[in-house]
Amino acid sequence: MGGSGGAVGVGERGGTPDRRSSEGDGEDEQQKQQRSEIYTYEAPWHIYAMNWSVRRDKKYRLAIGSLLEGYGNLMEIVQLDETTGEIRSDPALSFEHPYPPTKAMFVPDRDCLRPDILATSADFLRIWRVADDSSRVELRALLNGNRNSEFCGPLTSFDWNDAEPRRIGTSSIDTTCTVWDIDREAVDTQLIAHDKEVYDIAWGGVGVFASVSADGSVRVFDLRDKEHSTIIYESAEPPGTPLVRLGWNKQDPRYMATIIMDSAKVVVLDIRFPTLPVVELHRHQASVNAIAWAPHSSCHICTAGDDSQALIWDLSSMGSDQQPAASAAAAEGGLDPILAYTAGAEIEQLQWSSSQPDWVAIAFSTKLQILRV
Amino acid sequence: MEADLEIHEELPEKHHLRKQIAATVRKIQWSYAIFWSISTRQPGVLAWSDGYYNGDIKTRKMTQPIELKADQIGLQRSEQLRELYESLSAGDSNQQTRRPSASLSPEDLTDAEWYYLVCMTFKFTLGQGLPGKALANKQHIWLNNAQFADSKIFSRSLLAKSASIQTVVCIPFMGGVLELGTTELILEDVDLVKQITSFFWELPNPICSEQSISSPQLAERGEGIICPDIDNGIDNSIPSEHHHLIADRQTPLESDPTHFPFPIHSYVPAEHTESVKVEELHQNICEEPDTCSPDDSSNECCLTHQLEDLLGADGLNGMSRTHSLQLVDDEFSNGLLHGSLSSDEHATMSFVDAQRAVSSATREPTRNQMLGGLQEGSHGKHISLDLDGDDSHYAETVATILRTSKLVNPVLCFLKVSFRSSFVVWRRGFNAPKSFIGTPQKLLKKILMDRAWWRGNHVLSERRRRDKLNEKFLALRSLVPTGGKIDKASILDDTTQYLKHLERRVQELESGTAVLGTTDRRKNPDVAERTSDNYLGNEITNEWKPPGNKRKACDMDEGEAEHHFVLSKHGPVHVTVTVKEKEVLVDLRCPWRECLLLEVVESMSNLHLDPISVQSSTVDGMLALTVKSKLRSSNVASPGMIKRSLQRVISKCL
Repeated sequence: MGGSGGAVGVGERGGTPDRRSSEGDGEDEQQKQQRSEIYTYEAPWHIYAMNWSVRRDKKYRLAIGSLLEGYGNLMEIVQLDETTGEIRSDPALSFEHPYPPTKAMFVPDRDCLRPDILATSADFLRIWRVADDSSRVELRALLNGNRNSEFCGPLTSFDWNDAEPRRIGTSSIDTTCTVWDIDREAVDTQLIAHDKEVYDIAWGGVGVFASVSADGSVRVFDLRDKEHSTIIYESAEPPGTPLVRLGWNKQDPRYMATIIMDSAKVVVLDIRFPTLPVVELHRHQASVNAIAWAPHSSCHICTAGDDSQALIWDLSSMGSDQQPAASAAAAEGGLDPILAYTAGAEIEQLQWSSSQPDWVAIAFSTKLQILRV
Repeated sequence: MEADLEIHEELPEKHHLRKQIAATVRKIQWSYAIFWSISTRQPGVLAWSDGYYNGDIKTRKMTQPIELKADQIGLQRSEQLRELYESLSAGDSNQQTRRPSASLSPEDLTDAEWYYLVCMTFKFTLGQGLPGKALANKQHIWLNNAQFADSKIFSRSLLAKSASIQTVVCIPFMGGVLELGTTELILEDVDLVKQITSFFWELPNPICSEQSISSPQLAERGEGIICPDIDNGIDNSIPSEHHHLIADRQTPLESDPTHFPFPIHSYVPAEHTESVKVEELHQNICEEPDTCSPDDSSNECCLTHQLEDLLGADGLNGMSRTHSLQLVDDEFSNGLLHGSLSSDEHATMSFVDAQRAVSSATREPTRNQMLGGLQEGSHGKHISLDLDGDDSHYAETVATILRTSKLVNPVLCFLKVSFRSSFVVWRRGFNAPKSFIGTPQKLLKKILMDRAWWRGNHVLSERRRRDKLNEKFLALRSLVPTGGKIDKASILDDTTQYLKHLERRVQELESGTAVLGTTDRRKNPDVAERTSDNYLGNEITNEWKPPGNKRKACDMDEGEAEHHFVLSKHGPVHVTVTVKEKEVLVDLRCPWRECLLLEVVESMSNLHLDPISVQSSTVDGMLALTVKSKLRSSNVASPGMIKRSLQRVISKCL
């Protein structure tokens, strides 16, 4: 299992000539060898879950998960070998995963204060421990929110709280969101969050998270007062269209972005002005599949979709009137992205590395690519 | 205006004091130091005399690009903060032009700097507040967890919270009070206190080069208006301090009648009756710093502009509440604003609104541009969303988010397209990919919505569930006389019929017991009726008749024992035999007696049936038995034979 994928130096670029850099990566001066800025890894299966490692001692490391129908699925941990420019999967760190993981995340612990753990969501939330010598991955905890019931709503997504890494919030098709204390391996809070399936969840601060749902709403929850939630946006055209993904801008928590089912637009919200998007991004030519806020800038976002494009947007004009260019663009029917990348197929997954903000990773078909911004 | 003049009187000893303060706080690496001294204009009141800010800094602004030493930078920062305070309190519309380009704007400040700045507005009488007490008791006070302290002890606890100030120490000193604060939690250390005071004296005279720093007797400014009221109300700390704040900020406004033509005094007397409102206003002022700063972190461009608006908003707060409501309302017609101002309980609301007002003021044009027609006509929607209770809750949430978020300056043009970038500059039509045909968001939907997807998962739990269900059905079947069919629908059907039958029986018995007496005559129609009832059931199950008849026979046998009815000792005898290939399922229900089970098994054995599973239960003297058995030989006994033989066994003793 695993490990059979090959790495290709430069991925398909749709006619764009290869551009290779002639110098090293800066942080590694000795290695001044040629290197391409697109690294591709081909997995033996369709990739869906994919994410960057956050730890500073594990650069260019990612976890990818298969999307195979049924029980038997796989996770691999891959890493870019900076000397050869190859992304390799470590067979010792590949492991079986029950059902396709809907999301994977490494512990948000840049300073390596915590064990090297990884969480995945599928039928349950699972915490995996990568051995310190990288010899194996072990299941450390299986967190089941519904101990009393045989029914467990499969988890659609989860988010790890940056500010409080013991907390993970999960969203479920059973309309609930659950906040876990992974240190105690117990439920902190479980809330019936929506009228329908909850599709995504994102933390906005220590005790605040938001979720999106098949009921078409974005709701904000404050754990200090679990009785209330606030609907800050509801999909229109037509009303109640499911919202499928949510991203909260960690750098500037005033903003969050959401994706609508079957829609090519991305809606950006300002939490202070409920109901009305602060801007809508309209330049994708097919439905959007993933969004990722820049980890190091408060006003940049990357979006990717079925049009095989990953677009990077500068939203700094959102809150000021000092950007005549943007305003002019707005007059012409919306903001334009600043940068674009075209992949070989529909981009299903997108993650921006929080510890190496120069890099974004995308997954399309069976390929993983890491791209320099 | 008089106060203004006084401020700029620079006394040499004051200058030295400032450096001493600076050196002290820098040495122990705390966030700030303030020296409170007895006001020259108002004896007995401690007011801000001088201070040094040593905490985190967000935006640094300088007039000259020369490199300054750290201590000089610090002094300059403290100075800039004080200037900002002055300009804020001055609040006249010409500020923009007067202020040098390097001056700070509210947006440039961290929460801690705001805290420091707002401290300039505070005053304490002897024995009041932390500094007042320290001076009165001639004893230093060390306060840990200042952010959670009771406002009676530490009136600035709310502010401290926003600034993350955790430890505050007040040391009576030179006829005044030296206050030091830090964002860290530092336990009381008497040695440190001693060290601070001694260090203060050890300090050599001028330690840094001459700088033109004016001395701030800032707190003196508002006194003319507020003093008597304030000082009386001082015991109930929070509101009283708001008065300070409000009044202080009002003073300059008053001095600019063109901007604010409303008499401030008219507001002051109303304070006591409107304490709640005052509190709201206080919140406005107190909280503003920390919401404003994140708010504006991303748009440095319109700072001065916002400052004006900020001052405008303050001005509104200083005025009567109706005024502010009206003005804000008219200008922004923001539905959320409505809800908040009418809600007295949720004081925090108002600050969000104030902030909202500020941001609306500056943003509205932009947003209109950005969103084209979207913004227009949206007000109605805003209002419709306005939920009274939830709203205040949400406002608090928003405040928390904005407060706790670590502020990162926007990397405005961080994305320079490097030659190593995988991305290309976006151009309309340039990157047009091949048009997409297929299911949109295919994988995403598969992950999120495809139920079949999770069938795998369900198989497991579903099987467990089904096993349990089957078990229960079996148990139910053993209690209910059923037809030969063992499918669930039939079992439920039989159960329904049986329950109806039982209900009827209960009814009969209840109505009958009185009349029934001891006559058999009354009983017989009863039995007959029941039988006919069973008969109806038989149309569906076709198996109830025999047990019904059997039962009737039993009843007849036991004739006179009508209490049998009442006690329900004898249920119907019922035997079902189902043969499926080599498997025979016997379902039996009859009154229990000793050795019955054994005899049943024995008789089955005689019929070459090998029981493989036996399930039995006895409830209220009724035996319910399910025997699964295999045919041992090919000499198959017919279901009828088995049944008759079993009935024989059962009836032996009945």
